[in-house]
Amino acid sequence: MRSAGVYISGALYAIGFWFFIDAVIYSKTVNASVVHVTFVDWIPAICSTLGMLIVNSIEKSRLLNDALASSSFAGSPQTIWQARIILFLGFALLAGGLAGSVVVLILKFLMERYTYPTLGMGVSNVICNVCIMLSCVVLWIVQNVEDEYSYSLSL
Amino acid sequence: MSQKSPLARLISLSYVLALGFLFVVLAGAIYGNWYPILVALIFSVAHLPMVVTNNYSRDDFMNESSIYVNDFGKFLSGFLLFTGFAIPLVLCHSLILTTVACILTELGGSLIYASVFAFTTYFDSGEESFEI
Repeated sequence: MRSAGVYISGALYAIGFWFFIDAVIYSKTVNASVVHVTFVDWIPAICSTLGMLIVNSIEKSRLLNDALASSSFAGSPQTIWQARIILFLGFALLAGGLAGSVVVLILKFLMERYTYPTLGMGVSNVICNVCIMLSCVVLWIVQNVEDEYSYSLSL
Repeated sequence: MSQKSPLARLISLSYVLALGFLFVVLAGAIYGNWYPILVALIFSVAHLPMVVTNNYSRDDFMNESSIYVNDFGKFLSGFLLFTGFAIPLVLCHSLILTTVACILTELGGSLIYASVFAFTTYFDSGEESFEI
């Protein structure tokens, strides 16, 4: 269950990443219109990836007020507060990346009323950020749910 | 497990691997573009991070960070597998690869991955019963 979740998370991240790279390559090769994928389009994807890295690097035991936690001094309010701030920052970056990609879609493509093959570049960016967010959420859930039995003799 | 001898299973696995490489090289040679070779490389490497981290974390699983190493290997394996499926589609969408070459590359790549996967699972569990 946990291994399937981690695997699906990696798959979702790859799907999101390659949707975006598809838009970039399409923009460089067979693009028939004047609008191209510039650095502004990379910013939401970078934001989402950073957010995902931050969220998944937090030690889960620091977040809980659990006196039986294994690693060092995990129960003190100071570290719990710090870990929660960092978690908030990470999820904010992730949501900011998603919102940023929707903003880029609206301002760069929908306001000028482009139709489908060109609009596909903006839609790919949104799909990329949605997939990265889903990947982060799946990884987080799967790593948190299976916390009761930490001796995993799986293959 | 059944009456098929391990040697016959190994031979059929190598046959499937060779068939996979045949499809990929065909896709590259007929349509004049050598990106399918990159895809074949990615598919053949895709399962290996999971195998490497499983063997690494089997030695000391009382250590807490070995679960995370295991997770990272699985994440990387899933990422590489879906990258392998995605690259022909991306190239086909930008008309760098034709549609038939794309389909051939996908088929060949999945055969390569399936045979690497079957080989590593077979080799892990039944290596004593190897009679010629």
